[in-house]
Amino acid sequence: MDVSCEVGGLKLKSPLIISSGVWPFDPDLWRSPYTHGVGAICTKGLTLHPRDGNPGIRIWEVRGGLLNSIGLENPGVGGFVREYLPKLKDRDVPLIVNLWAGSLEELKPSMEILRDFESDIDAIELNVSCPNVGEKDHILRERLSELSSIFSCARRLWSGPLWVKLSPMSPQVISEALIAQEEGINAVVLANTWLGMAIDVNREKPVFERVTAGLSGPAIFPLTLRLVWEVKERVSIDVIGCGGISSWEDAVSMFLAGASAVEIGTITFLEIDAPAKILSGIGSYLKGKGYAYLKEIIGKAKGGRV
Amino acid sequence: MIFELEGFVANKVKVMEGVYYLSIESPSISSVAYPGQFVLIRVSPSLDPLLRRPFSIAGVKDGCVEVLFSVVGRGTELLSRVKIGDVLSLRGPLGKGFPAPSFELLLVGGGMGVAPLLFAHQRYGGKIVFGVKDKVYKGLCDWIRDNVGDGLSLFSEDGSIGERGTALDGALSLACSDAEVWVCGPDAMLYEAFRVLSGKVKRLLGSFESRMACGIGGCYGCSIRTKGGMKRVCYDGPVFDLREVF
Repeated sequence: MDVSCEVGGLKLKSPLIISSGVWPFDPDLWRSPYTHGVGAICTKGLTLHPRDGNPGIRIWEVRGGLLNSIGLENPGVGGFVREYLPKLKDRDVPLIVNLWAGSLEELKPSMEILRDFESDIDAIELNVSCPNVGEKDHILRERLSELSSIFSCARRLWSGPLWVKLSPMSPQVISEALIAQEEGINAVVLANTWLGMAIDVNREKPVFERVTAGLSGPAIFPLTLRLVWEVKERVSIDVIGCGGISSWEDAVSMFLAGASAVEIGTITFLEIDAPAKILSGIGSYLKGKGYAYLKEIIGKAKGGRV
Repeated sequence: MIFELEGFVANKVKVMEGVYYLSIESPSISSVAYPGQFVLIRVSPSLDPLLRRPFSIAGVKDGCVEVLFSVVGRGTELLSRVKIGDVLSLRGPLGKGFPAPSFELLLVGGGMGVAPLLFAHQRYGGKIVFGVKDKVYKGLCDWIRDNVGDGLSLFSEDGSIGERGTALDGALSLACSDAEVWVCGPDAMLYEAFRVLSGKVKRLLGSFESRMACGIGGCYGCSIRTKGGMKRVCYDGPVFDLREVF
């Protein structure tokens, strides 16, 4: 049973990628046995300068999911390449740098630092958070123009595999994916967390200091699956499903909807060996259905290879 | 090495209303764990609750990991229902615990903060000062006395158990300038310990509590601000030198 995949310019032994914000830089955890079933690992989201992250409560469990307001605590791109990347050279799996690309001003110097380490980095995943998009069309158009500049700048500066992780909150996610395709991005990751909130009934106040927080976990899976389905109908580049995948059935659903690979995150908090379990389930499913290769089911729910 | 393994519940004791002791078979974890470390326990076979719950290791014995917990929410309520013979999944041992003591050891705990100190006492000896609010906690105090034996000083705020006062009052009266003090309890207690003890003892360490998701340093959900920058309770701690935090 061949469960390897080609996605976004990478060849992976497994279609299961650990999503950003989940896996530590601890090099021991980038090797067997912790990497069983893992195709690649995305780093913690990196910003140009180190960030302390958000004050106050950062995680809050809800039914079927997890709200987080971490606020991109990270050592900065420079800190990462100096302190952590050298220790990760002896790893079992490809490393994908998740890079905050909120603005052109921050993106360029970040990419220039990473360029010096291109041989140590297997891919870059640009994290383009959607700000509070206004209701007026011209603001949406401005956003598309801004994304176009960010994608083309990144593409100019990085010759290796380049992915973009889009926000599910955007009302124009298909347009954003199409712009990524036009600018030569290798894959779109759908998607980041969904905006939610929680109120602490004892304190009678919002749980999070910033009020809103990102929702991940099983609750968001159907939402993300729908995004993958809709976007894959319009783009020819690879789509990577990310959001609430917690079982082999979820992963297979994503493949059938057109995803070439999937990212898993929150489920690893519950089961550190979730990748191995999910991959085993995918293998059994393919065997039971009489498939020899994973790629045979990509987009099959649409009536054929997408 | 971090393990995530299933083990049988070898023993369960209802220490008092809402407080339980569990001993869970886990030779891999119990053989390498040291005081101050913790485990993440899966409290349900389903995806609800979605997160494991963190518990300080209260001791290791006969290939088992021991935990002591109070019921404070859905997760601990579910865990309180397990029976001897049930299977639980443990992730651990996690975090950086207490380094071996270099000076005369004084262990100071408030409420459920006593759990890691029981393991510390099992491994290193020393005196334990334990403080509770009132006689509601008599069952817990009796259980601790039975398990610790000599070297336990009990305090209660209303004087109904042991001496009147808080655990920190007891620590102040017992700590000499050559003492090494380990404190476990809520943040407010750790801060108060820093305030009253930091200039009086050789070494002052505290075990911090925080909401956690991964327990392995990946998600940054448990970070706290220290003088040396942000630190993850699960990975850089949970034990910190209080002088480096406050």
